[in-house]
Amino acid sequence: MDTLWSKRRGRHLKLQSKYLQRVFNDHFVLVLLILFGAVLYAYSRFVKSLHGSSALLIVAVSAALALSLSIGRLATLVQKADAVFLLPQLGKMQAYLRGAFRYSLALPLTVQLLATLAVWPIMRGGAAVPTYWVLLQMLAQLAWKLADMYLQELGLFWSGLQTKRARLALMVLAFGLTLVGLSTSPVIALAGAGAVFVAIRLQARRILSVANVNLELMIKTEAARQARIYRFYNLFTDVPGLGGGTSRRRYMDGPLKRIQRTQQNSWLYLYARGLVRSDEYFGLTFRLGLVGAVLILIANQWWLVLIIGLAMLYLLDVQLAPLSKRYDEIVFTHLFPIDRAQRVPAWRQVAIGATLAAALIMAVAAIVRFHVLGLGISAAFLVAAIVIPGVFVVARVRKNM
Amino acid sequence: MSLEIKNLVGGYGQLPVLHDLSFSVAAGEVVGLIGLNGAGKSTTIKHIIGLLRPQSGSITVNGVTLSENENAYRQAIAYVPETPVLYPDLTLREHLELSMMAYGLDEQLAWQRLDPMLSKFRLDNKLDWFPDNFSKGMKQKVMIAAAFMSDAQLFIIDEPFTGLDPVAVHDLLDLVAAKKQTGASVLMSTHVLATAQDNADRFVLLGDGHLRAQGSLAQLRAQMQLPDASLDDIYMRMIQEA
Repeated sequence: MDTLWSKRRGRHLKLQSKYLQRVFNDHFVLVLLILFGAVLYAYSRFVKSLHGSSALLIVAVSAALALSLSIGRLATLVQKADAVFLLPQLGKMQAYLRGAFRYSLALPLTVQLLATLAVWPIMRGGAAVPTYWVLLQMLAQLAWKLADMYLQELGLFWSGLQTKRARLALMVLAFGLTLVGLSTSPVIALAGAGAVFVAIRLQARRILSVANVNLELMIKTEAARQARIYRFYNLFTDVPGLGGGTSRRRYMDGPLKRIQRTQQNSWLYLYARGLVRSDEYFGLTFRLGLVGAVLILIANQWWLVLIIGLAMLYLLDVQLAPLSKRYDEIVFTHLFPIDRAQRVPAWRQVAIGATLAAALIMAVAAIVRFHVLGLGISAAFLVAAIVIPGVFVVARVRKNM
Repeated sequence: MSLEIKNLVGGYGQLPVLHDLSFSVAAGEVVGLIGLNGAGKSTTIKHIIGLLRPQSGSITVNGVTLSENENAYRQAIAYVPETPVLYPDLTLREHLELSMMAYGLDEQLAWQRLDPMLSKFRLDNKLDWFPDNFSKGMKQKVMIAAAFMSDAQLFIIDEPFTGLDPVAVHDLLDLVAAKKQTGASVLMSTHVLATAQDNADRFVLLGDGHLRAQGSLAQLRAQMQLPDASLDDIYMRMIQEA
């Protein structure tokens, strides 16, 4: 079983590195970096503005550190077919799980170290922080996260709800002890975290050696974990097989029904429903619109707002382009006696609709932020929402048909 | 003549899977396409519905090839796939509406044909559901309803009996018989030989991509010198001889 684990890990890492290459090649990363820089800048100004010590800030830091424990899942890399093929090996999963556990530690533990470093300046509510405090807090965070990872491993033997409750309880406990630790001495937090870690680890060791994993739940959990990662990758590149979920969204039936049911409108009928019902494209439209709106609200130059808005609309359309190929796998798409040339104008019409929706969200933000000048910026957004998909991105769609 | 296949050589890549295949399905005729797994049934069907292009030979539907008039060719065919395929974003009603739009059907007329089918298949109260979440049998019924509401002259049905409950199998056979009455042609690939024997007029027996035999049950019995044999007996003999 440990050879199976190392094979799977190898294949998984190779696939991840391929996706990450694509992710870092995309211009969307630039936008995220700019956003990250803006947040850091705001944070540094906030730290500089602090005077004395604030109890409220200590509560906030404790809450943030406790919440950060939810970052990082146990990666088991099990697959759907394992429910059949690994069933005879169910009693011998220990070696596999040990590999999975070790592999899953690196990222979450790094996150904990970085999180502790990030709150360093405000750890005591703005008062000076001795270095050993940071080191002790780091150790405590590592212990909490390790305990959380063991809980997730124990979760492979439990029901899903039981795991959720246990992890939540751990987080609440971590919050309380961190709060006490930061208000008095971090030794208290470290002692508490260490004790919890040892107790949970003993329990995990014991169960792992006697019980069988809940394979079906394990597969479901892993699929959900991977889907989250792939949804992120999908922002930058096409992830095959990731249709995302579908939701009915009845409230959108009104606009959808306005499409006349004629043979010429067959593709439009299909794409419009694809956009509205797929969580992927519908979510993308509103996520980008909202991210754009937030950036606009914190920006302070009109020309920066204009650039951010236009970039967001362009990124939206580039990522809507694969909608044109969403139905290629469905045989009827190829059998219907309809003109294939309909596809490009149908995509354009749907993309313009989505882009206008995102542009409207950002337009509201621009008007709130810049008042009269915002009206001009909004007008530019709306024009761009027609020109970008209708002229620029449509060429890309046409080429890929 | 509704479907005519002449000297078809075809397959997926460079290597042909189908070798010099010729057969036809006349108007008002039901033909069973019979063969083992991997005999070339689905490949033949993919060529007929135009998903694969012949390496040589020709396929005509109502005298038209796909390259001569794509829309007329496609308009004439209704297809029920072996594995139901559905649009994840469309409700059952929208699937049917899209088919009506694509085939240019009169909506009122199409719904008149659909209503009895939908209630027979117990789909009439699920029109606003996403059929992508249905069971395999229910999905298959959606495929059947969408195909049989059309005005197609050629019905291609791939393994129709797998996944359907016995009542639905009867209902499907009734639909096939009704379409036959109106002069449509039906090509049905299947492993369920007893049902095929009772419901098809002629049979095309494939083996390793070659045409092994074709004809009515009486003709096949005569060819194999097996009087009183069932289609199953004839088929097993053919396999042993191959």
